[in-house]
Amino acid sequence: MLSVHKITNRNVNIKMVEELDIQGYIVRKADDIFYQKTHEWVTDNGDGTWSMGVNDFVVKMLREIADFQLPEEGEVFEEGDIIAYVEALKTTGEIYAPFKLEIIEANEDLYDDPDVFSESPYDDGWLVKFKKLEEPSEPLLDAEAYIPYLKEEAAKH
Amino acid sequence: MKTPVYTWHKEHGQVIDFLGWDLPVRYSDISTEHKAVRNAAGLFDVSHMGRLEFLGKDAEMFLNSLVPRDIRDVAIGRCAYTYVLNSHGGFQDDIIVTHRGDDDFMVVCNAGNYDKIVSWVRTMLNIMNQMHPLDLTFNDFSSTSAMYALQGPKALEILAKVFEGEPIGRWRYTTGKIAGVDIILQGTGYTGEAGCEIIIPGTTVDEPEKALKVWTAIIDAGEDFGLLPIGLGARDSLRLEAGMPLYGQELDEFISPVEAALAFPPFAKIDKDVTFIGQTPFKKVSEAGIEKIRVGLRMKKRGIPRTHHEIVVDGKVIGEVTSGTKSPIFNLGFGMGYVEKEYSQIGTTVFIRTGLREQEAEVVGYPFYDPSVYGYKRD
Repeated sequence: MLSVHKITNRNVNIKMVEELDIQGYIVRKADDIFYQKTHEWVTDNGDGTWSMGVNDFVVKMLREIADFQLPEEGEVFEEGDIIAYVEALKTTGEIYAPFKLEIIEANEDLYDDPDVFSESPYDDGWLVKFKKLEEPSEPLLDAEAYIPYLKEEAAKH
Repeated sequence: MKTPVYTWHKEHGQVIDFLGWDLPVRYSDISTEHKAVRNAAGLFDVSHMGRLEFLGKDAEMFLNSLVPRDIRDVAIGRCAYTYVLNSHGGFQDDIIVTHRGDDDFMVVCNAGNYDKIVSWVRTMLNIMNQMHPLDLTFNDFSSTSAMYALQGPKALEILAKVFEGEPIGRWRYTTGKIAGVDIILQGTGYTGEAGCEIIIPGTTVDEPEKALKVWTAIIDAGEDFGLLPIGLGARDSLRLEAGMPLYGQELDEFISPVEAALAFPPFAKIDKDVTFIGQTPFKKVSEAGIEKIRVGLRMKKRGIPRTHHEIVVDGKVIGEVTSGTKSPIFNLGFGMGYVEKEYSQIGTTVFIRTGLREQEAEVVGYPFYDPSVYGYKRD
């Protein structure tokens, strides 16, 4: 299944984004959307900032979202550090820094409205915005490179 | 391993692997199921737990040397909570002993400790039999029976619609029929609510008819009362909210009942005149005092305590969380843990390292809910 949408991405640009249905999980594909093996998406906003959230797979795995722990503006994290937690009733999802970064903003609206995270993980359910302080040690994965990791994980569930 | 009603779970719920058992973690979602038990009723398949019979003149003596509780004080028709200790006075398991009749006892043990307890019992029996042959038959009927828990403020009304037999209260035992099937009924549970546990003998994974008959009879009878089938997820949050410890979390081989705050009568009679395994170290710990103790923890605002989170005061680690979740009832993170004794007073402010930061919590008593609003004590 493939559909093409025009998506206004957080008042930055109008981008052409494809939505791929990978075994029931939606993966967005665009030139500036990257993934980690741990299922977070990372987007270059084109203005020197990056946004990050989780994909549809994480939302479906965690199910009942109970709480968030988000970082604060100005906090600096090394590549691979945990920068946020998404708390479900039974489990905790850990969000990892894709490279050395400094937090610009956390999506604190999620505290009051956690459903947004589940309903709109690629858009209004974003978790953090940050500045890149160092290049990642390995290139970030584009959607095509990420999909095998998703398939591998999805096969376990 | 599968329970006799596995096919029903597979059809209606999300089945996961739990200690080698294929069991439902949820049928709908955990908070909906949790609230159903607090406000109406829920039915749980707990067939993974161990069910053991001790029959014969020496059954009482044998069990009395296995547990700190005085089994002689458990009258016929009563169920009793107690535990099995190791030789260091730590927990091997916590169990329910039922005095079913003359020279007839039943024990229900945790699924996770089943192999350990069965082999412990068999070893003890072998040793004792070699010294002096006992009048005791040990019968493990776990795999040839099913067991359900029916819990919640409407549980006993639902039971009354299907149960052919005399109704019973908390901690009582009886037998009867549901849907024409012979069952064992106990006034026990693991949620803090009124209700019972139902054992269906003579059914297996390959011959599930009796188990399915009883299960569906209760589900059907409960429909008008708001009864839901309940998975392991809500089973855990319900027991936690009631302040009940779970083996593997709050209890293990290295924890003393004194530390677990379970060393009081009638669960334990430390000076029992029948020697039981673990009595000497149990007594020593009880007399010498302890450094850490199990407490309830409730977050002040945000955060969810989780197993192994550190508990701190003024930057110093004073304890560790053993279980935690967010309450679907009062919508706050809460849990249990062990803290240094001087911080165990109810009302003490502590901080929990939940990941990114330390979040404020308070030491509280059990149950976590208001017992005049939820639980078996409510009107």
